[in-house]
Amino acid sequence: MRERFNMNGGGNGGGGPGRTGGGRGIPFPIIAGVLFVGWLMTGIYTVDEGEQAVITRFGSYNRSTGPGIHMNLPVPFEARQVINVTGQRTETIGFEEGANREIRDVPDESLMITGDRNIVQIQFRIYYNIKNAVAFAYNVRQPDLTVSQVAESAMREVIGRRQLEPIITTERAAVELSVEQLMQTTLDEYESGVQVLQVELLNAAAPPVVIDAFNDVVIAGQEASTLVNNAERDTARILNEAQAYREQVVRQATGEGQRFIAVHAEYRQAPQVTRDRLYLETMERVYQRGNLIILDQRGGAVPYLPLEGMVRRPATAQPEGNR
Amino acid sequence: MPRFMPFIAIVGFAVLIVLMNSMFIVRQDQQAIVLRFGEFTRVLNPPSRAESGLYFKLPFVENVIKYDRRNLGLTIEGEAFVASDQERLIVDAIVRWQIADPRRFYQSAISEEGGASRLNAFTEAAMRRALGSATSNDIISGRRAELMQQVEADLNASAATELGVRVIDVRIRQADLPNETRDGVYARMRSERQQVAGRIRAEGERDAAIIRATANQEAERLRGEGDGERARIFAQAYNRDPEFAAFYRSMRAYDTALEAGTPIVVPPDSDFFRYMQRRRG
Repeated sequence: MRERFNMNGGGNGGGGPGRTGGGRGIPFPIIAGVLFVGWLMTGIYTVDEGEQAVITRFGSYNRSTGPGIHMNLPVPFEARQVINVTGQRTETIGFEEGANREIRDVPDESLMITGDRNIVQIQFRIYYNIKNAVAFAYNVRQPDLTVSQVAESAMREVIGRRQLEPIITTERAAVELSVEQLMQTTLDEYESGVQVLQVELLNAAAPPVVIDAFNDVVIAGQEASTLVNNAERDTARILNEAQAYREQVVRQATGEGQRFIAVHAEYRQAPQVTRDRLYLETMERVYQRGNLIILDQRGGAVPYLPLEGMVRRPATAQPEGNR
Repeated sequence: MPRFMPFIAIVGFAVLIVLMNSMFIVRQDQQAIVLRFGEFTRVLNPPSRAESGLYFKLPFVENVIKYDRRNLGLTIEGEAFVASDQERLIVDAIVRWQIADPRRFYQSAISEEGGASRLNAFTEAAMRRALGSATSNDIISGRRAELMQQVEADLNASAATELGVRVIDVRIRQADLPNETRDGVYARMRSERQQVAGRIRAEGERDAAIIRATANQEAERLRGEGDGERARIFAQAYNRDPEFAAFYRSMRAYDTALEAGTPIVVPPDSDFFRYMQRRRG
């Protein structure tokens, strides 16, 4: 009824001979013979590689035939159903595939509740074929729909036992395997003749309405790494600067120390002369640069001097006024 | 002869009708009961026996009612249940069933549709019993399989004998929160993620600060090392002659410390001017 019975329409052949007998040109036996052979011919059929034919006699299962050319008794006696057995069949759950392979989400199927009471979007595909053509043909009504329903139910059960976080990250393969096993057990219990080949989890993610919050966690991770990386980079700079400072200070001190030792060595040779010379040379430079005011304080009270007027022009004017 | 032709045709036609009315096929995936004037006589090819094929009956007196023999699916769509913790859940379920006793089925339901609708009512009642005594957590995750088994057993005890069916399996397709609750779940999921994101960012900042502080600590140590070394070197050098060192260092300090243009007041009798007014000191 719902199944695709390959009944060929040769049945009319049986009913008619009595009426067509009055023909003038062709004698009745020839017409009857042609119709009979034609009727018999409807029983010839071929089975392709990977297919199996199931033959019923008076509605009762009689035999199965494999690839090749075969014959069964014509219509009122036997009927056949050719089933593709090894061909991979597929069902999609949680989404629909459009003509251009574009994917459209089916929220009623794809949104599932997890064991920790979150909602996850699951889209998956199942591949199956037929391990028992007779069982597939006669045991379960609408076997394809049944496979799809069992798949969704199994997935929901598996998802309901797990936590959101692992589902969308590390446990995808485990989910696939559990669903496959659960499906196979159930379908075997129905004696459906179906062999589940693979459960392919195409999408396991947070639902679209909250996906931005999930993405923000990823972004936060990136930002945190950036901060740490920047700090690492600064560390190198800070340490190098400090090392530079240390080396600089030590070397300068060493240099200055050596300079002092050298001067001191000379000083020991002629202390007074060296001391005077150092003093005068230094003062020479200092006074040359500075704004020198010579003031005799022996008069007792310090006279008020309009310092401004006496101050030489500093820095820039210095060389002129000095020479 | 020609005069008898119509008569023969009529008789032949009548025989054909009688024959067709006395033969019937029960297919592999069908089962049937035979009634004589509405009274049950026999059952053919029930699930417990394999006896599909061609059968005969008394024409016009007996009639045949055929049923599907296969595993059938009944979908219970979006029914609201209240769990023992008073949480409302929307549950879709699929009942896999089979007509096991066609006689009983005929008596109580007549048609497959009628049987399915009665089974639907039985299932809802059984689910209410099973789910009502379980918590929403059990239904969603923990004991789902077990609850389905419970419903199945319940149905096989009640509906099975009443309707003449066998319940093969009960599967909760979906046990979900109503839409209002769902929005709450989304809000919670979002806030949880925000919390995680905030924590990750704060941890990043903290780690970065710690790394910088560690670097600064090491930097200060290095600087201190430099300063200490410097002090040691100077002390070593200046200790050869502290008095001269003080003089020498003072000279250098005057040289570098005083900026150009700094006013310097000097009495004429200072050391520098010792020879200014006297030829001889």
